[in-house]
Amino acid sequence: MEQIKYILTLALSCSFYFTYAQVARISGIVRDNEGKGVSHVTIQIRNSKLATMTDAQGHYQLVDVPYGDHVLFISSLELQAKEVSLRAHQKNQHLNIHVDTKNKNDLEEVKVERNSTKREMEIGGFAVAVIETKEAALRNLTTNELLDRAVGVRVRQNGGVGSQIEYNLNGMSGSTIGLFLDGIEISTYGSSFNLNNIPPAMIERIEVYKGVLPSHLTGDYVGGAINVVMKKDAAHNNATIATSYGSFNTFNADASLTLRDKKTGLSFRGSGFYTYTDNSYEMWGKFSKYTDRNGILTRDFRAKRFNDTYRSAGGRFEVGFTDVKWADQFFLGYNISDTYKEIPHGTTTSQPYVGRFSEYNAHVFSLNYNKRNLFVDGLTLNVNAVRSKRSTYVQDTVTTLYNWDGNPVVLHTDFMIENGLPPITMKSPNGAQQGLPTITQVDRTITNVRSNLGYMILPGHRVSLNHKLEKTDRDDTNLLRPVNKDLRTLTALTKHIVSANYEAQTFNNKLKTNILVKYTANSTRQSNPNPTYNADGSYTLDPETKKTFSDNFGYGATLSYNILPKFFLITSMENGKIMPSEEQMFGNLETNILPNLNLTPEKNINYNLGFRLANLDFGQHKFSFYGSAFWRNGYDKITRQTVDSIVTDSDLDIQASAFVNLGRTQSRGVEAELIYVFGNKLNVMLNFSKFNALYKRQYDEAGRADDRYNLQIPNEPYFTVNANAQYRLDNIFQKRAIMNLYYNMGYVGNYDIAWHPSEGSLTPSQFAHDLGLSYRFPSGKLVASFDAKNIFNAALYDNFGVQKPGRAFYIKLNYTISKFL
Amino acid sequence: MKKNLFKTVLFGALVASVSLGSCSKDSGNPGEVAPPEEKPTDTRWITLTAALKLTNDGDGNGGTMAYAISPDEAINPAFELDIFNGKGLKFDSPRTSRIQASADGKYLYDIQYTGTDGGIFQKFAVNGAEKYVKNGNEVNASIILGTSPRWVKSAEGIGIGVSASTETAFTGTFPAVTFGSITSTATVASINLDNPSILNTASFTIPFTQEQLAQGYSIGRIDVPIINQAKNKVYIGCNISKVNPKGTPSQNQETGVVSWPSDAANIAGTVTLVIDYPSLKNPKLIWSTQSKYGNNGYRTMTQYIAEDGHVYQSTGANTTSYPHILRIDKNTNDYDNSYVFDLSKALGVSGLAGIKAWKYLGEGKAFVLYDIDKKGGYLALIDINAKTATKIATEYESKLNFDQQQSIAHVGDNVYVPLTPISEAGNVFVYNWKTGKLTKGAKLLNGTGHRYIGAY
Repeated sequence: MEQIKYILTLALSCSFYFTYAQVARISGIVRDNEGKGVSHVTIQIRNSKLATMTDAQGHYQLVDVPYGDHVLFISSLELQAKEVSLRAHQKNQHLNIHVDTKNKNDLEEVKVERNSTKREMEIGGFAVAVIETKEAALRNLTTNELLDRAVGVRVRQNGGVGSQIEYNLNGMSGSTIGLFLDGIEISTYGSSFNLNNIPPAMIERIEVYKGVLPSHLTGDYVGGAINVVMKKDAAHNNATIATSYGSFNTFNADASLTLRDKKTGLSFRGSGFYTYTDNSYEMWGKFSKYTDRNGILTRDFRAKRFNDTYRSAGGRFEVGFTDVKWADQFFLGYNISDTYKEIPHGTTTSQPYVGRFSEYNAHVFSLNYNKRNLFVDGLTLNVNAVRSKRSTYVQDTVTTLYNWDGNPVVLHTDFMIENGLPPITMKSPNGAQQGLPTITQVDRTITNVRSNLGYMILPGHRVSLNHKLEKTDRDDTNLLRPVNKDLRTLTALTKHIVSANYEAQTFNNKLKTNILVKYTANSTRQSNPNPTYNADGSYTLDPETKKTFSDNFGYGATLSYNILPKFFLITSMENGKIMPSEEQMFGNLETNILPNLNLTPEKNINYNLGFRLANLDFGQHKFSFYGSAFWRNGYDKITRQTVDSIVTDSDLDIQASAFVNLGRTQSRGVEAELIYVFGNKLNVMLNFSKFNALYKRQYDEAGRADDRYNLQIPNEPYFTVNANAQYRLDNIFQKRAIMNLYYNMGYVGNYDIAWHPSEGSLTPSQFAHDLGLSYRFPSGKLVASFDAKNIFNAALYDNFGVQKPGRAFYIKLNYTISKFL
Repeated sequence: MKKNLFKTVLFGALVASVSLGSCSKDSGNPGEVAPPEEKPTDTRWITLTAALKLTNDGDGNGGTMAYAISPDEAINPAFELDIFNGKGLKFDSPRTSRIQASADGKYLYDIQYTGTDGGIFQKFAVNGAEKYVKNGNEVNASIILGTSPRWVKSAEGIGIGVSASTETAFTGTFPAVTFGSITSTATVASINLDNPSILNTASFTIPFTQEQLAQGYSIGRIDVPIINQAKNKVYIGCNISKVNPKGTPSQNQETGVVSWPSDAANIAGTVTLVIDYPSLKNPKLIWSTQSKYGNNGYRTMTQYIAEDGHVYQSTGANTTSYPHILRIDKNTNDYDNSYVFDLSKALGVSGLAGIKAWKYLGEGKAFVLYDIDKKGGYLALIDINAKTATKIATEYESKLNFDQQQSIAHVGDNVYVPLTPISEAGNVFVYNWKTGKLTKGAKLLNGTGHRYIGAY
C-alpha cells in the first residue's frame, strides 16, 4: 500500500502538491431537498482563500484546511445561502451538506447556467444521447418506446409487447451494439429482465453512445451501446406505486421503496414490476393470410392475433451503505425475474403458431462498490460484479395447423366433396408449429465483473484503468429426446477486456480530450468426450480438451472543443474488432437463429464529427441544436440474413435465419436534433437520422468487378424522423394542478428486405402519431395519465412483414409518498 | 413535349394490345374482364430464368429473375439481355423458385421456396419481356408441403407437390440401443393449375415390407411426380436410402435423434413410389434391378412420357447425378427391367456422365445437360431407343455448372438453353434437333455471382 502511494506521489511530482503536518481534507456531497446532488455550489471557508465548487454530482472537496474551527459559506444562484460550522481535527474528514433550493418565484429573473448530467455528457466528446426517464415514468410508455424516439435510434420489434427486439444505432445493429444495465451486459440478467419489461420508473437515465464507447462500457462493441442507468438515489425515504391498463388487455404495475437510516447510512432500495398483455391486436396487411377449404389464399385478412400472451414479473432489492467513511456506495443486490411468453409465429406471420411458448427466469446477485479518494486523493474505485443463473425453456409440440381466424386449417376441396371424402384437419409437415417437436431447457451461469480504477493526476487530467471479466457456462437439456450429457462436446468461453483511457481538460477547460486503448482476450475451452462404443452398448470415454485463444487490440479517441460560448465541436474515432457472440455462432432456438460456426470477427473503424449549440436564449424562446455526421467502415460485418438460406442435410423446413459475415460495409450518414422551449410551457423536439449502408466488395475472387458494389444493404431502415411536443397548462380544474399534453410522431422511410427489389419485398414507409395527457393533482402525490398510441391506426412493420399494434389506449395512475418515517 | 410523348406511347400501346389481343385464341378466364394487355398473345414467348446469389457467388439463394423473349430474339446474336439491371420479374421467393410452365409457354407456375411467402403457389400470364401478370388465385400449399415444397407440373393443368419424412424406432437408451425400423411418411397434394386451387391430398406410410424395414430401408425425400399416360397413376421419384442396423449408432447432440450408419452400397435398386390418381391412395413401391441410384431429381423434372406411352426417368438426387435412364411400363405400372440407358456408355466417356437435366423431344430423341465426374456443363442429343448420344460442344462447357438447372425449352424443332458461367456473360443456345444445327443466339449479360438456370 505504501508503495502505491509512493508511486502515485511520484507521478504527482509535477503538480503543486504541498503537505502540511496539521491540515485536513474535507469532502462530501451537497444535496438539495430531494436528496439530489447539486452542482456548481460554491463552498468557501470564511476568512480564508480556501474555496471550491461542487461537480455534477454535488461532490466537493477542500484540501489543506488547517486544523481548528471554521465556518463554511455555501452559496449558489439556486440556493438559499447558508453557513455551516466545522471543526477540522483529522486528516480526512467527511461532511455532507443539505441545502434548500430557492423558490421558483425567486428564481424567475435569474439565468441559471448549470449543466445537467445529460448536458455534461452530451458535450463530453462522445457521440451520445442521454434520455431522461422522469417524465416518461409517469406515462404509459415503455422503455423501448422511449429509446425509439431518440435521435439515430431505431428499435425493431417483431410484434407486440415482449416480442424479440433488435436495436439499430445509425445503421449498426446486432452484436455491434452493447446493451448494458449499469455497465453490465443486460443479457446477464436474462430474457426475463430486459428493456421489454423494465419500467422507466426504475431507470434514472439511458445513455445511447453511437460508435465510440467510454472506458466504463468497453466490450466487443463498435456500433455503440445503450447503457441503462438504474435509479441509485437512496438519500431519503420514498415510496411510489403505479398501475396502468389499456388496449389488448395490457396491465402494468410497478412499485418502489427507498429507505435510509441517516445515522448509519444503511440503505435499502427495492422495486418491482408486473406486466401482462394478450397482445391481441389486429393485423390486416398483405402478410396477414387466410387459407380456405380449397387451399386458396386470401391476403389482407383482418385478424386478431392470438397465442401471444406475455407475462412478466421482476424485483430488484438492494441493501447497503451510502456515504459512509469506507464507501460512497456499497450495495448487495438480488434481482429476480420470471417471464412467460407465447410465440405467435416464426420470422414472418405466414403461419400462426399455437402452443409454442417459452419461459425465462433469472436469479442475479450483484455487488456494487464505489469509493472516491480511496487511500489517496483523486483515486476512485468502482466495482460492479454480477453473477447470474438464468434459464430458458422452449416448448413446441402442437401438430395441428391454425389459420389466423383462430381455427384449425381444414381442407375440404371441391374435389373431395364431389368424391364424398371427409374434410381433413391439417397437421404440420414437421410435427410441430415450427419444425420438429421441441422441449428444451438452456441454463446459463454468467459471471460478469467490471472494475474501474480512476486517478486524477492533476486537476483536469485523469487516467483510468478498466477490467472486465465475462464467463458463461451453458447447459442445454433436450427434454423431449434426452441426450446423454457424458457424450456431449462442451464449450466454455471466458473473455477478459482490459482498457485504459486518459482524459484531459485543457485550454481553460475548453478542450476535452480522451484517448482509449482496449485489449480483448477470448479463450474457449472445448472438451470432447471421444466416446468409444462397445458391442454390449456400454461406452468408454477418452476426453480430449482443446483450448483456443484469440486476442485483439483496439483504440479510439474523442475530442470536444468549446470554440465559442455555447458552441461545442464534438468528434470521436475508433478502430476495433469484435468477436461473434455465442448466440451468433451457436444459434438460439428461442429467437429462431441457426448456428453458423464459420463466423469470423468483424473489424470496424468509426468516425463521428458533430457539434452542439446549447441553450440559445432569446427571452422566452430557447433553442438548442445538435448535428453529427458519422462514417462507419465494417469489415466482415456480421449481419442477420433476411431469410434462411442455409442448406442443411435434411433441408429442414424451419423459419429461421443465421448470422453471416457480409464482406466489407460502409455506413455514412447524418443525424440532427433541434429542441425549442418556450418559457416553461412548450417543449418541442425534432430529430432525424439518414444514412447509407453500402456493400463494399469491389472485386470478386476472380478479380471481376462486383456489381453490388456500393449498393444499399437490404433490410436496414435508413431514414427515420421523430418529433414530439409537450405543452404545460397550470391550474387546470384545480389550483396548483399541472396538466401536460404530449404529441409524438415517428416516421420510417421504406426499405427493401432483399437485394433485388420485388413486389413483396418492400417494407412500406411508416408514419405513426401518438397523443398523451398527464395530470398532476395539487398535492403532487398523484399523477394520472392517458395515452393514445398510433391514433391513425397505421399499419406498422419492423421486420419481414410482421405487423405491429394499431390504435391503442392506456391509462395510468402514479402515487408517490416522498417523505415518511 | 413530355405530354405528347406520353400520349404517343399510350396510343401505341393501345393499338398494339388491341391488335395482339384480338387475334389471341383463348383468353384463359372467359368470365373475367381483364385489361387488354393481360391477355396472352400468340407469340410463343420463351421465358428465361436466372438465379441470383445471396451471399456467396453462385449460391443461387438470392431469388429468381424471369424475362420473356420471342424465338426471333432468342436466336438473334445481336439481341442483348441484361436481366439483372432492372429488367425482368423478380419472384418474391428469396431462394430459387420452383418454376414450371404450361407447354405453350403462356403461363408460369411457381411455388415460392422459403421466405415470407414460402409454399405459396402463384400463376402468371406471360406477355413478353417483364410483363408477367398474376393470374387467378394464390394457393397456400405450405399447409400440406411446408414452406420449401418439392413440386412439378405432373401433367398439363395438374401440379403435384410431395414431401416425405422419417422417424427411426429403436429400443433401449443411447448408446445401448437396438435398431427397430424407420417409418417413412409421404404427403402428396394435387393442384389445379387452370383454376388454381388444391384438388386433393393424402398422407401415408411408404409401404416397405417387414423384411425391407428390418434391413434399414427408408425414404426421406421424394420429388418429380408424373401422371402416367392413362391418367390413373402417379409415379414419384424417391431418394432411397438404407442404414446398417448392425452398425454403431450415433446421436445428434442437439436434436437427440439416434441414427445408424449409411449402408448405401447395399441398396437393392432404384425405387419409385406409385399411387392411384386422382385419389392419391394405394401406395406401392416398384424396384429397378438396372440401377441403384435415387431418382428424386433436384430442381428439374426428370420423368417424361414418350410416344410409346412409357415413362422414362433419369437417376440422380440433389446435386449428385447419374447416367441412367430407366423405363416404367405403361401396362404394368412397374419397371421394365429389360431397359436401361447409360449416358456414360452412349457417349463412350471414361468418367461418370451425370444427367443434370433433360427433356424428351419426340421420335425417341431427348436433349440432355450433363457433367462428367461432377465437372463442367455439357449438352448432348440422345436416342433413348438406339441408346446413342451425340455431344453438342459449346464454348462455355468447361465453365458451366448445372446444379441449379431447372428447365429446357422445346418449341417445334428447336431446343433453347441459356448458358452462362457464374458471374460471366453467355448466350441463349438454339439447337435444331432435326437438323443438328446449333446456333449461338441472344447475348445474356450477367451480374456478379449469378447465372441463368432455365428456359420455358
